[in-house]
Amino acid sequence: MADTIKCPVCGEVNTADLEFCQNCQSRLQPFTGPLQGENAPLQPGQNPTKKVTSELEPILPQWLREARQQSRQTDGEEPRLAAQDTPTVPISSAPDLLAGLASQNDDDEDAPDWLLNITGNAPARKKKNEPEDSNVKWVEVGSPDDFSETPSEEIKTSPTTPTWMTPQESAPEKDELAAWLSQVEQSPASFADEKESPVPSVSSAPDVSSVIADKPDWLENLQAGISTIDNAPVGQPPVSGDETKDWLHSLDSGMTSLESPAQPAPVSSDETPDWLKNLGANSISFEQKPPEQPAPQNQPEPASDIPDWLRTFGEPRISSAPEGADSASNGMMPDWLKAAAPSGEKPPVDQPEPASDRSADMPSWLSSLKPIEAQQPQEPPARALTPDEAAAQKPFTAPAFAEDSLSSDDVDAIFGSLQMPDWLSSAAAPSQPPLTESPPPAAQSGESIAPAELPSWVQAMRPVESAPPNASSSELVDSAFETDGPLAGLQGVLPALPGGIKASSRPKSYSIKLNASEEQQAQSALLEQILAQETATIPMKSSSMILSQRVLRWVITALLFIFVGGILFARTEIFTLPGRIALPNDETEAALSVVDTIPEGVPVLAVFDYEPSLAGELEAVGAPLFNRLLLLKHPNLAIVSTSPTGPALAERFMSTTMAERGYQRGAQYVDLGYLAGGLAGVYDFAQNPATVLPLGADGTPVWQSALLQGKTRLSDFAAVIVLTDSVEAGRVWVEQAGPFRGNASFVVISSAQAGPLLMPYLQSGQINGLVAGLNSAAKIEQANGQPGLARRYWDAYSLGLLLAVAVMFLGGFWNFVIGLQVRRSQGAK
Amino acid sequence: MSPDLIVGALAFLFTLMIFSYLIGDNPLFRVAVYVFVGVSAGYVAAVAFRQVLLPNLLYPLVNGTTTQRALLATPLLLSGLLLMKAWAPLSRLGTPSMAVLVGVSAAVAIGGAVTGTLLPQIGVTINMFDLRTSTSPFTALFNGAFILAGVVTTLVYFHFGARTTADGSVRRFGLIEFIAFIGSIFLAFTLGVLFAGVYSAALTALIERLYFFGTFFGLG
Amino acid sequence: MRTVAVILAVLTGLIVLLGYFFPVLSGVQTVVLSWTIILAGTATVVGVFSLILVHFNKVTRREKGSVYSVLLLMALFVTFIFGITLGPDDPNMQLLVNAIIVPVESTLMALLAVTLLYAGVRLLRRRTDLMSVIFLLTAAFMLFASATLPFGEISLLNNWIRPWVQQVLALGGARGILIGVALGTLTTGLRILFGADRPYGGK
Repeated sequence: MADTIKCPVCGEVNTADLEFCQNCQSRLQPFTGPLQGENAPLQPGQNPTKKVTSELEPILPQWLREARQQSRQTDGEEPRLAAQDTPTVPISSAPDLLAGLASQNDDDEDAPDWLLNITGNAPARKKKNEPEDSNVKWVEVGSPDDFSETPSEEIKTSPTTPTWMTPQESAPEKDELAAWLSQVEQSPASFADEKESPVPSVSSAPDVSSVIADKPDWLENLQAGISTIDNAPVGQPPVSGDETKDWLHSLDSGMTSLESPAQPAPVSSDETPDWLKNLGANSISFEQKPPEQPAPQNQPEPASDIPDWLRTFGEPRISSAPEGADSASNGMMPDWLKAAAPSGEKPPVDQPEPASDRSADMPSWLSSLKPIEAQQPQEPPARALTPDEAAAQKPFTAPAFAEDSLSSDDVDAIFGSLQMPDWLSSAAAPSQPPLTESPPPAAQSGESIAPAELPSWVQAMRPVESAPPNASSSELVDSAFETDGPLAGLQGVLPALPGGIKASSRPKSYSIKLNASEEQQAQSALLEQILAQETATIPMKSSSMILSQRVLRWVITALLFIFVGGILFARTEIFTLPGRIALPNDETEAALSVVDTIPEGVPVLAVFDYEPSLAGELEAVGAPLFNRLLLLKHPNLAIVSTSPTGPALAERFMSTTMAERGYQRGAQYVDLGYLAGGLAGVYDFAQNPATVLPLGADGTPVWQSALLQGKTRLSDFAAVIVLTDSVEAGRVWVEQAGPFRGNASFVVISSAQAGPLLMPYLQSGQINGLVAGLNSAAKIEQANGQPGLARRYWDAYSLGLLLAVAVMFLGGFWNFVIGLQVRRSQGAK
Repeated sequence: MSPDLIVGALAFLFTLMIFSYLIGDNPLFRVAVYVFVGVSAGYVAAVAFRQVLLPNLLYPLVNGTTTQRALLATPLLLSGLLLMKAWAPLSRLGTPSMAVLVGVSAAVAIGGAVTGTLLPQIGVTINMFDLRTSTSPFTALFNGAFILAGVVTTLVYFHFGARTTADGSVRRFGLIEFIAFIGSIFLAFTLGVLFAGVYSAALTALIERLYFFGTFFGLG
Repeated sequence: MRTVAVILAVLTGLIVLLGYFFPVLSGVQTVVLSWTIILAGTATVVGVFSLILVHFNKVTRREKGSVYSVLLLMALFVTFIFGITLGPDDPNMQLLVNAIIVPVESTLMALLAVTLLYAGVRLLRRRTDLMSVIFLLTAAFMLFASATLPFGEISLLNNWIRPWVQQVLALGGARGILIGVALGTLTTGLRILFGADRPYGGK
């Protein structure tokens, strides 16, 4: 397990020396290393442990290394550190900030131009400046007095330029760096390794412990986040931390000068490292910058390289304030952390703040970036805080000069004037109001540490992958609030542990090689075949095939028209009518018997439920039975229909087919009209005929007529005769009207197509007689002894049936043979 | 020109136009069909209005008693909603009316199917074996067995419950499959008879049309 | 709206169904049935309106065959206007039926004779199995047995075998079909009354 690292994102096992996962390109090595045990993040009130930060050198970005390289070329004058108190800084924040620097080392070509400027290389192009996020809330942790300790000589040189920007101030810092870098040169092997591996892992960092004493303290702070070097001396002698302070002042000066580019930077090139000079070259001076104390010079002791503000972590009781101020009263907790205490009393905003108190808070460079909540002119001379003042020190207030001059707009201007990369600019919130207009609530109220946001330029230093950040990733990071440690309450702080980063923003790489199993490939091939069959053009039937089918249809048509029409027009009576069958279950005989049993002159309900399509057949089929009925029984007919065209067909039947009987509407029969509702209408009509159809088709009250006088129910009719061409219509009348017909006979005159399926109702007794088709009609005509339509049609009908049988046999046999041949040929293929 | 002659000429013309379809689809056939559909629809609408809505809804609403009017309020509302079916944006409003139509029809169909078909047909199938009412017991048993076999096997044929076999094919149970095969034979007989009946009806219609030709030209 | 539709379908259906068995409900059942008749008449009119809209849209869009739609609409409006004014039972309307409706429909049915015969001829080419053979033989036999010959009929065939085939052999299948239809009607109706099926648009 020691040689491999399992990717927390995709689970891929990678070798331990890899920084990014081979599979998903997620970061494997944490930016800050595991923070466990002694390396755990500092908690509020906890003193930092002296760490050796020399091992952090390999992870320095390229621009910093180049700056250090340039610093070797400068004279080796030892920096003069101001013998003032060094403000304490939450160490845990250092790894986060510097981790961003380390990450930039991954991809130097992606470094923004302002970083390239630092290295001395001119930016390739100027990007459009975007408004910087003005929520520089993280600097709330600073003290307003932090920067009041700047050397007062600065006032003399330039009223608007802080003294820490003078050459006297920046020189010691440059010298220190040069000395430190000269020590680094003594270990070229390790430096070479660093060159080869831009971002080496901490474990593989070269041993630069020989220069540990010379390294700058701000690099030592990085050690708090890296666990490779332990057992560093915890307590440090109370040496002034002016080294660090000065270079931080230089940074401040550089940042300040950004606001007024026309104003030359007061930092001399021979006293400031190049990278800081470059920074200063792009800087603008602060307006209304308070005077600062001149930095004391000549503090060359390596041990004293550690600034006091860092030492306060180790020796909290040793106050660097001139008057010893309030370190003891504050105990282990620095003042800026005491801001979280509810007892902190907010001092007046315009009250001058002594410089001695600032030493107990935080570095001035941090405090300078504090959101300005009271930009009153600071009292130039720095003085130590009295214990009361220190106790009443307002925590998380910006230093005097920053309060006066460095507004959030200024901070934005610093980096806004520079060429910012897109990923950095996108992190800014343009709509955010300037800090000078709306100071953070936490700074105003002095309450516990409130959720804050990192300033945009700090966000720029956060570790960001080379891929452009998207909204989700930024929200993911920014939405997280630090709960532990000195950064508690801050928003947007990078998680110390790699697990805090849910997923790499770098797009995952996927193999373009198709991983398909044999089964999947087989299915794919099958799908392709199916698609090919679907898209393949189907050969149309050959014209000869279509022609043969048409010819066959024409032949059939010709045969039917010629033979049927010929024999019909010939008016022959060659074919004999079918004889009556003396069988008890013959449907036609049953119908005849029903008609024969109907009393004379009784009302009979006739239902015309057929469509005009089969009017010719139904008229021919129904005529013999109606002739017999009307001729023999003279019933009064009531006609109803469930088809809209039924009344018209009934009128046609009575006026043409039954014209010989002389039945007239209103005299011998009434037309009840159209019965709507289908089977529901039939059911309702069967229960209450007079209620459902009170008026006839002509709108007259037929039930009060002489024909239907006193007849209000279905059972009052002597018989119900249904003429239908469909099984459904016959079945509806059988099912719905059957229970209500009482003793009335039920006869169905149907088309030949409905006869077979109505036969079961005849057998069950639900139908008393059935006349189905012309065959039955011919029998009735024969029984009547009076030829009618059946006789006229019979020869043609019989010939048509025989012709059909002949065609079906011959054609069927021919097609059967053809079909066999086709199937055989298809089977052979 | 007498009306009968005009009617005969029109009938002849339309018959000829429809018969032209035997040659193939042609404009004459289409004209005849479209005109026929239009006339039929207009006639049906007129019948529905004059013989259904007018006597059952409108007249009672105008001339009826208060009770009749009150009873007709519901069908009036439902009819109004049903008319919305013709306009797509408001067609949803006709759903309750359709629900009444379907619900009542379903209930009536249930009652008719049970009392008009199921019970009588099952009863007569059983009574076929009642030798007391038969004059020829052997014939009655023979016919009864055939009919019973036909009924049962046909019903089994329409039973489509099946199971998946080992080879993945879906098959019915073996006994069911055999009975269904017998049922298919009975169905073949029945459908053959029905086919003959349909052809007979169509042939009669053809004869009627040809007979009309003969009478129109004085041949019949 | 859907809930109302389901409630109406179930409620009215149950009223009518219970009216079969409880004479007490016959009065309410009759009222509901009368409503249904009125609604059925309205549905017929709605169907005609829908037809008008379809063809009117075709005419306005000048789709292919819109000339036929114009003819249809003209015929429809003329018939409807005459039917409303004169009444469907008017002799002139009867002439219209005899001149157009009956000839066209009868002729269409006559065309079926050719089509059926053509289908019977080609059946064995498409499908050659026992059922097809039995079907075709039965049909041919019934056709032959329904006709008579010029010299008379074959008594055994026409008076004995044909009735037996129709009343015994084919009756079993016909009864099975009727019972099957009744069972299907029962099942479908109950599903509608239970609200499981909502063919009226209630989903």
